[in-house]
Amino acid sequence: MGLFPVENIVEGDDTSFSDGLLTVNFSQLREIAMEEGKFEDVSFHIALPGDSIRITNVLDAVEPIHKISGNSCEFPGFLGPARTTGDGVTHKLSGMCVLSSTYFLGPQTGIMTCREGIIDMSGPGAKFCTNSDTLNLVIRFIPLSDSTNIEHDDAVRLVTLRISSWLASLTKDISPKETKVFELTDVDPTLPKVVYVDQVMHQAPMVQTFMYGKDLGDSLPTLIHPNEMFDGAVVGGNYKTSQKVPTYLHCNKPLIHELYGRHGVDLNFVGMILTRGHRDNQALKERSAQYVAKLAKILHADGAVLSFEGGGNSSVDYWLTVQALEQKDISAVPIIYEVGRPGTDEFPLVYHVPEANSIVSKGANGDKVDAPAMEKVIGSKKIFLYGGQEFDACGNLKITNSDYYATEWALDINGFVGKDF
Amino acid sequence: MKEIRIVHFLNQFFVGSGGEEMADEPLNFHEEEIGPGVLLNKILGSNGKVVGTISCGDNYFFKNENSIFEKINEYLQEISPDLLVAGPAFNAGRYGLACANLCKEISEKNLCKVITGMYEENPGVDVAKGSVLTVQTGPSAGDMESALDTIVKISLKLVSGEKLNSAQEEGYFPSGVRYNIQLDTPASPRAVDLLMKKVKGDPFVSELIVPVLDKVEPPEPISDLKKAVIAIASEGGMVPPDNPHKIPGSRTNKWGMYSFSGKKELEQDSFISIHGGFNTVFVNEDPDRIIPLDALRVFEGRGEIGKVYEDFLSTCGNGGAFGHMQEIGQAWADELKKGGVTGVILPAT
Repeated sequence: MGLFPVENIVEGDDTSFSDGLLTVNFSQLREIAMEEGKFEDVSFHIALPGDSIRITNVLDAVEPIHKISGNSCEFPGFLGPARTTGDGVTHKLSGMCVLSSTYFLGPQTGIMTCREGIIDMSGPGAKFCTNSDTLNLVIRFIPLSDSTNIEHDDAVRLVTLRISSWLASLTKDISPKETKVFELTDVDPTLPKVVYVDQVMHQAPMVQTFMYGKDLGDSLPTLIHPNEMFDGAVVGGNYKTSQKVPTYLHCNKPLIHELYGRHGVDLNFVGMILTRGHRDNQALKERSAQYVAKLAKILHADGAVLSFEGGGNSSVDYWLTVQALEQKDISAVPIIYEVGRPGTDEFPLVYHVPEANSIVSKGANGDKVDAPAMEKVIGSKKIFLYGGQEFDACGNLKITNSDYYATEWALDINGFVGKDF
Repeated sequence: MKEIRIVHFLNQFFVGSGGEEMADEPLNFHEEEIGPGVLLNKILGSNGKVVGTISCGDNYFFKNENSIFEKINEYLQEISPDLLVAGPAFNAGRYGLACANLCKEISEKNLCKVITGMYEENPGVDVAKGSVLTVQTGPSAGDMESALDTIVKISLKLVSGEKLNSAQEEGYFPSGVRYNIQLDTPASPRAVDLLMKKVKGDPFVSELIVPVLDKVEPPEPISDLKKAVIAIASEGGMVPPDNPHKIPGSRTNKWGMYSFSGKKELEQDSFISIHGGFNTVFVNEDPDRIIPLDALRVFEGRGEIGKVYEDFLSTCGNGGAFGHMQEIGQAWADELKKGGVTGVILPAT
């Protein structure tokens, strides 16, 4: 992986990258975005950490990557054939993201509702959302009046990935500032073998995860090399405000970095299992949990760390997986968020299993945030938070932390923990 | 900081009167520190002092609780200490209960701050939980010095109003309430560290000790369905289109009861789902998919069930807190019992 840390993004006459400075010609990017005529209009905005900027309606965040060599392309299945990726050389504009911000014109009910995604680039809310600490190029998409929600969503996803990839390709003839080698090398066989079990969310349009360009559907848990994740084999399409995993995080799962960092030091990182939550019924949940444990056993894992995306229903899949692992003598440490509101004695979980005696908690949703108005709002000014309440994004927002974009991952990365008092 | 003034509560044993044979010893007020109070005073050093001791026999306390409370109230009002330290009671059951009850009483009357200490198996722990700060001690007085150390450390914070750290860090029993804290270490390294300890067989502490849930035993089957009154109760968020009880799509403590009397089945839009956690298109199209009145009417018509209860109960289970859902369940059970219902179908989403 060749890293090209981005230190600043500015608008300019041509699009180029040099010495940490990304210069972007907005009309050139607009042409790329509008190529297939899938949007009424598209505009570009820059939002940097510390700026007095609030971004609303955020769907996804993508860190620009581009394959220089290897068997496949970046975001395979979307930007090229679904050939196995994860080998060769990848260039990355690190520390920046391309953000998609948009809305939908078709009817939205129940789960198939796109829920608000707010990112505050500064202020007290910044620590409760991801991407307040990345340099962001925001693409604002205005939908075609006759597009269905699904058509618009697909078009936004494709263009966001395409522009990210195009920006990263600016580095193809320059040497990276830093090169990192990620390889699951043979290590001391006596080190404990650890597998990472990553449970992602898939339910319906607006709550999707893609693997090699195809939604996870009813697919069984599967083995995946962590390097495939780095190259965008998994793309996020879940628009549930606090729970969602942006593509940026699929490509940068904190546990992958942690396990790679300790591979050959105090553990043997034997690989990764990707599974989906929210299976339709108890039998399918059971099947999935058993399958994860079986795959972990095939890898001879001594232990597993787990992360999950989703809500109450998915947590049943998650705990059954923990149980199945423990029953196969594989120690399991799940990372969870709590559902009881902070400062209350509400029960912290929807479901659990007695085998789960080693849990890492990133705390609970529900801390109040008093976020002041920002100088600039990118995206809709009128927003609707979960529960239907309308807010003016230009004003002060008295909201809860979970109204922010990908809160549960911000809690994870920013070191939050739930504690008994 | 000004010296804090402490009143110490002890049982007959710890003031040196004797054991079980002296358990009926009446309430006494002493001007000086006694028994463990001497050590307490020493640990307090210049930070505070014991200004009085209350002692009472274990049995006497429970036989005369009300009059004891009255006398102690008067005493505390007179000398107005900053804090009352009760015990520590270790694993002495009656003593622990006395400490917990007395602290609760003083705390409710707002006479001064209170703190006690005991062993995890002492029945006083449960009584104190949530209302009285209780320090975790060992099972016997062998742990006196360490217990008093912790009591003093926390007492100074209680009196000065300084925020306490978590139960685990400070050494008190959790009240049941949890807060979010921000650490320097993200979740991932914490998870791998915890896993390494577990895999190697080293001691480890889970960041969440999962409370034990009640086990619900399924009831006996209905002996004669032909006489049964069957109701429908669902967490699927089905409400009349104007959602009269304003039940939100998640995290609710609200519920409603709605009638389908006179209907054979539920036509489109007669009820809609406001549930935020599943695709509601299909149940809005045909509400019978979640409130299966059409099927129940068939059974009713054939005489296979006695009758259908003409109101259904509804809430939204999405993200519901256990406490709220328990309350709703209780209210529903009362409602259905009142209506003579003998069986309930609970379609879930």
